[in-house]
Amino acid sequence: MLRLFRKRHVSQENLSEYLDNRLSNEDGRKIEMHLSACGECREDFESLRSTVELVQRTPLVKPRRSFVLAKAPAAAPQRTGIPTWAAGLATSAALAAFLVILSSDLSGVLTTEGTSPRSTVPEAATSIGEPTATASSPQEGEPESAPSLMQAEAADGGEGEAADLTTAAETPASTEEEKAKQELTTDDLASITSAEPFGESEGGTPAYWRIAEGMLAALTLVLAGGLIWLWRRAPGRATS
Amino acid sequence: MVSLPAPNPKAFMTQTHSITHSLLPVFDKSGQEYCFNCAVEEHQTRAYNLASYMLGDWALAEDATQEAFLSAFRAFKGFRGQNLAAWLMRIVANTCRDMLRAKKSRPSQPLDSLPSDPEDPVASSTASPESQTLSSELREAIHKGLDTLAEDQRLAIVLIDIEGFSYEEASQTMDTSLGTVKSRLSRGRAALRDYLRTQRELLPPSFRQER
Repeated sequence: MLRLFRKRHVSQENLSEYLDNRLSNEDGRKIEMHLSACGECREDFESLRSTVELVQRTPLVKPRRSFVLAKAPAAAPQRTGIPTWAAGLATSAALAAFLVILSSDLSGVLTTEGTSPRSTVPEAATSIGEPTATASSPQEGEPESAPSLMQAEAADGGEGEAADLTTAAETPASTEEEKAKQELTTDDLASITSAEPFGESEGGTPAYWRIAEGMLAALTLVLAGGLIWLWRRAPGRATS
Repeated sequence: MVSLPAPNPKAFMTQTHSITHSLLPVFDKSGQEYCFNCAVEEHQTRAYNLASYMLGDWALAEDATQEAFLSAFRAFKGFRGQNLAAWLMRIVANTCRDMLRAKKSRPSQPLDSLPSDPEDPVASSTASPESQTLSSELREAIHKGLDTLAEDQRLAIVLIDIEGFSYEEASQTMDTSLGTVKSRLSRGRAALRDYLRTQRELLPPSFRQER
């Protein structure tokens, strides 16, 4: 057996594994026996061990700088500059304003500027006995609420002429009822031309309230969309 | 599908890395980034040294390490392996191979002439005073010897003998069989020994006396 080991030298791969204690006990014992008997392999092994020890003593060089990644991805959400709570607040405010205006519109608050003249509108309409054909009937109390504007318009002198033209065109009859209606529409038209530069819509609501309603509704939708977008792309929402 | 809240990765970093990595898909983006940077801090010295031995140039090694970590971060979320070190070193080695192919020629500036941190050039805290005093001539001799080796043999020696990887970890890093790792390591060691025998004047006296 010993002769067999003397005849066959240990391969470099086995020597390398033996050096690293990677061989099984049996194979390691065989190589030990061979090394004790073979001077050539022993010298080979010793030089290999010295080389490996030398390499293993080579120190690792500390890098001159850190390779830790910068926080660039984390800074990305801050580029929008709009915190989610601020977007939510803006959306809520726009929605609340929209709902206030919408409910006011539906309940008829916006049809008159003051509270006291509102009661006179149905009374006037019922006393007339027929539905007011003109769109301006609910605004009969307007001259009280906007006198300064009336004065300002009166300076131009165009408002009176417009009222005359309107009454002439709309009320050809000469009954008392028609006269009452004429007075009503004349007063209303005067108030509209003085206080409502945009005119009135059919429901009696000033047009700029309609425009404000529409704009607030659109703003609410846009802000809500933006809020949902911000909420979905928030880092905390990413689940995998 | 129930989505659970993302856990805080800091709570898991005191455990072993295998626990952290098994939970990696659960973490959100910032949590994964935190885990990755912890891994970078732990392995950057190994990665940098591997790149320097592979490329033979400190400046190129810095670039390769940075590039490798960026590549690793992009793929980090999908990492499902058990050994993060082997995975990272594989990316570093592949990056170095790509850079070597692009570079075509061997390093224009020798490693030993490049500056290292004068206050703490040795990262290993276990280095003895003897190894500290021998470090410069050791590195010079080893680097020159490793430069003469084939790329695969050099990688095996750097991983196992210098960076302390096991055969199995080196096998994962080199993406090859265990037998191939043993073969490359033994042939590399023998070739390095043969080179060092011709460069005795570069070696420390203790090594020369053993001849």
